[in-house]
Amino acid sequence: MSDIHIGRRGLLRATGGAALLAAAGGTAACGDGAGTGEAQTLSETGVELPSYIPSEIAAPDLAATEDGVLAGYYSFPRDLVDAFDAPPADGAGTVSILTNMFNPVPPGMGDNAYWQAVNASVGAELDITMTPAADYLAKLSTIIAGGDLPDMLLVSASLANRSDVLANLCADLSGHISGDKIADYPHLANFPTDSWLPSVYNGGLYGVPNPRAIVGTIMFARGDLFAAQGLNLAPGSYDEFLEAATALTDPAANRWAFGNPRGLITYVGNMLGVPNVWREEGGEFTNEYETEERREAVARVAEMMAAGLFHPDAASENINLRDLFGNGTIAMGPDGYAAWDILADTYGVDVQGIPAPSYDGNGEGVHRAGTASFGLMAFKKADDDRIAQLLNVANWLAAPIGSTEYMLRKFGVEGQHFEWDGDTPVKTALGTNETTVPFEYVTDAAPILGPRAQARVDAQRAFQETAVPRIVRDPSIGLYSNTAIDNAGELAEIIKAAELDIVSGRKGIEAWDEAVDAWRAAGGDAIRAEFEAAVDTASPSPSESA
Amino acid sequence: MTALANRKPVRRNVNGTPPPGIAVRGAKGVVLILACAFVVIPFLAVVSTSLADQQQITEAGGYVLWPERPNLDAYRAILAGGVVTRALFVSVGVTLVGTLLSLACTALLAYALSRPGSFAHKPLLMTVLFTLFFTPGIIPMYLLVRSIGLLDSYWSLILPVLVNAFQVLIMRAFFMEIPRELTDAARIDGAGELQILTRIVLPLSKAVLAVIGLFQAVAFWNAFFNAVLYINDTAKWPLQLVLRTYVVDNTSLGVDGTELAGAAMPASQSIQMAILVVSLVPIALVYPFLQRHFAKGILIGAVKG
Repeated sequence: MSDIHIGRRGLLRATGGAALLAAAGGTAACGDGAGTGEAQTLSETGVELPSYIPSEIAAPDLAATEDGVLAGYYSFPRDLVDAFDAPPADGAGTVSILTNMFNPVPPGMGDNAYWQAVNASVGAELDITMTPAADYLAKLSTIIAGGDLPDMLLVSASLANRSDVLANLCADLSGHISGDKIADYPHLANFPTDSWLPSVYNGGLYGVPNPRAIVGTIMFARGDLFAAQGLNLAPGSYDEFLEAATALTDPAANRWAFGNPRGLITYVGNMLGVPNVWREEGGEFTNEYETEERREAVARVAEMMAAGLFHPDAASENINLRDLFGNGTIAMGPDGYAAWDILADTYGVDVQGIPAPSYDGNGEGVHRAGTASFGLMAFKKADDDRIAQLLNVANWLAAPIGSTEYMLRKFGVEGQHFEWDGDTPVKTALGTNETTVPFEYVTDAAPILGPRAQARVDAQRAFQETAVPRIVRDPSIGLYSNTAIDNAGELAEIIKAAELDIVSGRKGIEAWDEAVDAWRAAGGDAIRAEFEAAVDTASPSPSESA
Repeated sequence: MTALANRKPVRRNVNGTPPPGIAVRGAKGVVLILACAFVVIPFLAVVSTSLADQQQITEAGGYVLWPERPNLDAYRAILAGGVVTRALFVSVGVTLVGTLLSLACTALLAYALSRPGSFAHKPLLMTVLFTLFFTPGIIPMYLLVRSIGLLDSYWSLILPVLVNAFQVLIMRAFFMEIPRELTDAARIDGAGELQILTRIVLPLSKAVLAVIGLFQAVAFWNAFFNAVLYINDTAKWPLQLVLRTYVVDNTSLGVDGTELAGAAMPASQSIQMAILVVSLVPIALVYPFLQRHFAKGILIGAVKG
């Protein structure tokens, strides 16, 4: 039950984010007089993250490890367990929820037997307002400005004045779920501790995460193309990786090694040990852009581009990379970890992950941690009983694999929405149509590998076992910077433009230094100052690293 | 005489110049064919891709120009669940009702503003002009729509965009060109203002009505953002918003997509293209019937005022 991923130092950093938020959050809106614009010391910053209590509902074929390697399942457990004896949110009435969606819109609740079955099992009417992800920020901002918040709302990371919104409109859940209190909600307790860090604001826990694997982005490769040329899927150095890329590239056969130059910069950066966004040493923050290693990564990718290893349209960033990967036009490319199954299932090709080697072949490369939560499901301020009801709803939605509730949420009602084909649930036409209600973007069970064929799960597991021990976390996760949110677009554009200019040969590598200077001036230095102030205020006593 | 009779008539262009040689005409033909291809090929690719299977789309890298194994699976997929069909009806209803109401209100307002000396003529005109230059923001509009109880109502898709000041001015300019003698004669015959509008002015203004009607119909048909803000019940979503959930960008290889790491694969390319076809066809069917009024109406309205 101890905090397995983050030591006290990490925890203090997280609470330091709250200190900064209290200071810089522009609290004029809430009128509490704290908006001085300077970092303030919080005398009591004791935010205790929820304990991690692994679920015992269905033993996995490959157990999760403490450092973040996911549990693996070769097949769906058939002996399903009821995770709840009775509908957990009974009496909650209607629970209004605002979230985004990536799937086609499902039939409305009145015409949707799946949705109604979920409501019956939860014990509440889940009134979900769903919005296409591309328009979600506009909808969220409008709803917040209108003042009629739903019971639960997905607060996206890029919401302006996010700190004010959380602190003034949303409930602090720490009194309900901090530490071992989370045991009252055992399926939320199954979330890795990494996933809870982004929930920390203003000295409290302001939402339930939507957990994601810490492994984040993976460099995928077409295993069949590597095998056809006898290439090594685990190159030992940059030179060996470059040799493989060169061997795979054959413009006459309409094949190139890569399709995305900026993704490659990050990957080569992993070989060189570039920090994950920020590096923090003794309370001082250095951005990845300011490191010599990152500059070198840009230069190496520019060389690869000049050598013709990229698809000719790569620098346009306007090509369908998944299709090109699927049809073998490009052989390698980074994507989110969930894409492993998506690519393999959609295109029926052999997908493999390539951990970054060390640049010179000595030692190991690093692996950038991903954000371990998709957004943050915050609750509107309410009395304790209502908050408990909402947490029960979230707890139901987080019921893990092996439970009847998980199968209901993912596949619907057996015989109506899905049928078993051996040990594999197969959706019916009705199931395909109705089960796209975006419950998974309210919250979801802790991530797992599979259930899939053993060979694929083993390959995914092997990748994670290699990458996770080398993982480098972003030390700013859990900290808060208004500038980082307000200036995010401008800052990203400065770097993106410079990277594309350099890799496409329009400018030399010296343009990188100008871009980094511009980045600093446009807000990079301000973000650094805000993070450093946050860590200062959160470190009242000497603390050890995680 | 004989020589004159045998002389071939010389073909000349309308402006009296001799016709160009075969090379020039050939070059023009090639240019025109290329220009047509630029327009036609994207449409062909959309329709073909909607009929192609996943294997061919994957091999082609996204779009196909001609489906090798044409099938209607994509159309079956989007029309099977009833969601798209329902949204189609919503969009047709909103477009029809909205366009008719919009035309009625625009014509009434434009007619009033085209009669100098009518009640509060100048203040009204200024008010209309004001809305042309200063538009309300998203949030004030949301607050207004909410305060008058239109959230989750079809009217929230119609009323906020019912009257467009620019179109009022176009129609007003058109009405002002109708000879005053006509309306004066009607008035002498005992016609009231409403009769003059419905029996004299509107029958003479079919061109501008067609243009404004088409503008509004296309705007109502394509609108999705108001539905994002005002309609929470997905059963009331118009077609364009439903389609957006099929074609919305998703994470893909190369995007540093940790935020979206768990996101599902977007609908297949064939489904996205089928969606495009479904959304294009109805409005494309209307256009040819109004086209002959289109250029005439917009030019008359635009250059006189």
